Amino acid sequence: MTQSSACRRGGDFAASGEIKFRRWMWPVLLLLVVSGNAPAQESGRSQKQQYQAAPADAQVTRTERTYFAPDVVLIDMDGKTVALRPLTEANQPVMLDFIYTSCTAICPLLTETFAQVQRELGADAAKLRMVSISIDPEYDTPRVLRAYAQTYHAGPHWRFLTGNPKDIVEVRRAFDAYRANKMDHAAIVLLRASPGQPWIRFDGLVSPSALVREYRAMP
Amino acid sequence: MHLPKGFRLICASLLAAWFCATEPAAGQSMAPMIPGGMRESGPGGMFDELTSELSSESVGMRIYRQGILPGDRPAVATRAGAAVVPGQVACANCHQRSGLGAREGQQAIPPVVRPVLYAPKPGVRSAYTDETLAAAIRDGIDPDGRPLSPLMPRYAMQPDELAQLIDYLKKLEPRPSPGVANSVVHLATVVTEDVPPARRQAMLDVMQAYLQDLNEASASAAAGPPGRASAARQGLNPMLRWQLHVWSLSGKAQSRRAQLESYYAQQPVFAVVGGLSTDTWLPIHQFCQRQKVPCLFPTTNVPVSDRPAFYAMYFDKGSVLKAQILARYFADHPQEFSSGRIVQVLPADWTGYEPAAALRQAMGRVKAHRVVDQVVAPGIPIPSEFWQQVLSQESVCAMILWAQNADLAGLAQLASDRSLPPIFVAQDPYSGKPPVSDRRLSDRLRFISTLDPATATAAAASWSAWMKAHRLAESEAMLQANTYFVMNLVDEAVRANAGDFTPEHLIERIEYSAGSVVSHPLLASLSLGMGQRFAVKGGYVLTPGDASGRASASSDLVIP
Repeated sequence: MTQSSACRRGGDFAASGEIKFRRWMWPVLLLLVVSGNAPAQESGRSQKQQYQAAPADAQVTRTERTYFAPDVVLIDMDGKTVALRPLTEANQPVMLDFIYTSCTAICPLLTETFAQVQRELGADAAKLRMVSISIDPEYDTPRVLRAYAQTYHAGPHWRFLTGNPKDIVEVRRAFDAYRANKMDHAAIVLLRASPGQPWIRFDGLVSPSALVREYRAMP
Repeated sequence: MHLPKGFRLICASLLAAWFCATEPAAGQSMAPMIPGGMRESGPGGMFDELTSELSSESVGMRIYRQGILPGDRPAVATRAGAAVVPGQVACANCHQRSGLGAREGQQAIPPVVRPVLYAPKPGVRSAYTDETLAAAIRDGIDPDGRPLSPLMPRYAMQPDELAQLIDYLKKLEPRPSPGVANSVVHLATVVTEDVPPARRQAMLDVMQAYLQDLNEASASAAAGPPGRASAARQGLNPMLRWQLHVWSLSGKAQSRRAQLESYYAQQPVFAVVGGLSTDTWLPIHQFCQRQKVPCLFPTTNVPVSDRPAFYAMYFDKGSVLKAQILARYFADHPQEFSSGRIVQVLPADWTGYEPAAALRQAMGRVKAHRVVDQVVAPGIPIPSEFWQQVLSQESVCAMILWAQNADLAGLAQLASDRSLPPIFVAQDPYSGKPPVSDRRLSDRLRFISTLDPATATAAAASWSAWMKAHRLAESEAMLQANTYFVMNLVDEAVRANAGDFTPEHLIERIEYSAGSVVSHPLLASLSLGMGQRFAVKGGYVLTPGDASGRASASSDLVIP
């Protein structure tokens, strides 16, 4: 093993924790996001904004998208079947992300973020439907998801879903969150105020405080 | 030969007692004999660890791998304003056991091995010192005072705990495998004496052909002008050669440790690839863990399924997985299977006991009382009288045969006279010939298989073309596809790791690449993740199709 190969492993990627984001990179990043994020079921409405938030959110992009959940039935962490479309079209705010339990970096932070949002909202947390969908359904059985949910003290309004792998792929495609390799997945959080409203999509490591602000500002 | 029930039970008990007495190293219910073993926590894996290794190493190693501070206290950390849960707090969860970092989507987890930390990264950061490293771990700032990624937790640690962790990081550096020396990568494969010669040869032919290709490519690159080597091989030593060692094991299971150690003493290897046995894989599993040698994807029905180890990777949990698939299938089809007896016919050895126990466990206490076990002597044809007696029991709604290559001729004789319940066979229909030749049974047979016969992938076509090009007949398709996949994985990992031969790095790359970068020719839904050691987690219930043995799925993917 040489030092150079070790460097190569962690050093090639612009989002490395050790690589400082520079202002001139913004146009490049925006171009990449625009070209790489054509959603499968998007109606064409996509409004991009640079998110104004805490320093931790400097690399987060906020866009508004129109997505429709496919008509699939998933399974929650209690082993109960859940029709996804009614869940995401419920007459209440919905916050959704994609995770898997053996993920080591992004997912734990996403899940910690959801847990912190739940904590910061206090009693209001019951008004927000939180949905975390596993992208590794063969490993993340209801039993595994239940243990994971308990670790993060998920409340009754926060469901972890798994299901048939083909259905999960369909869901990921519908929300423009599909990557062939689960370990290449991106950090995405989706938030929607009410049925008919667009989904607000955060690409990057959005902070809990930014999500809480977004939620509070919703009509 | 039909044996009275009482006699059979006595024989089974005696056999079980003999196994327990002579082979403590086998079976699902028996823990691997790792002295004083303990487990790591977190998504990095619940692995058996050698206590001797942990105790001989520093406190820092335990903090790094397990996130456990002295006094068995979990490390405490926060990031992005939230507490990191205890299971996620270990450094190795992100930076990997090797310390060589990882990549996840657009996020890169940098390496934390000594040679990297203590050197500057031009344009990125200065070199760390002990003091600035402590500040990075505690406060999340780099040596130049800039904040680290929000992914990096900020650890609340006492100065002496930080010092011990930093002391471990200073020892953490790539550890080249002793199985690579003088530009030769030594690989071993293990075959036990119970394996038929044709199957053994089918596996070895694939391995030899694959390595011959690699050696010819190396020779060609070395002989050609600079730049001739393909981009995929850049970073590799053009003189690299691959050599396969066949470790044949014979005799009783308890003698296998010594045989393996003897082979390894003669020639250490970088990895144990593939391998073939109908017996327990435990001695090889333990050997690999002891010697820190990656042990990659053997074809065995008896993997070590209950105690995952860092260095041992498997396709699936073997017959235990099949039992779990079946229990789930029964639960999903209540109209057919919610009442009546479920008879499982099992040979009086581990190939029978393991799945039989797993089925009962998976069905749960309430439903397991409907399961009736019928133990038979292993390897002896089962006469029709036996089947007659089994079927004379009241309301049998399903019959399961855990015997490999079960002889069903006696059962087929009964098929014309009476209606039979569905008969589930734990056998892949892809072993090159139909598992059951008697057509009288075909409409009752169901195969429990990890294979989706409806899937025709690009990987399957590519593999078939490779086999043809190397003049290899698909005589043992599943085994040969398994073998090709393993060789492909190791080859890809060595290239991706740019010639780094740290065993832990090999494992970490395979966790990433299996099923995504490298596809299995026949198992489309195979994948791993960090700490996962069984690549296939579900399967199908199949019905036999035409005379060629091509089966069709009668169920969706069943995930236990």
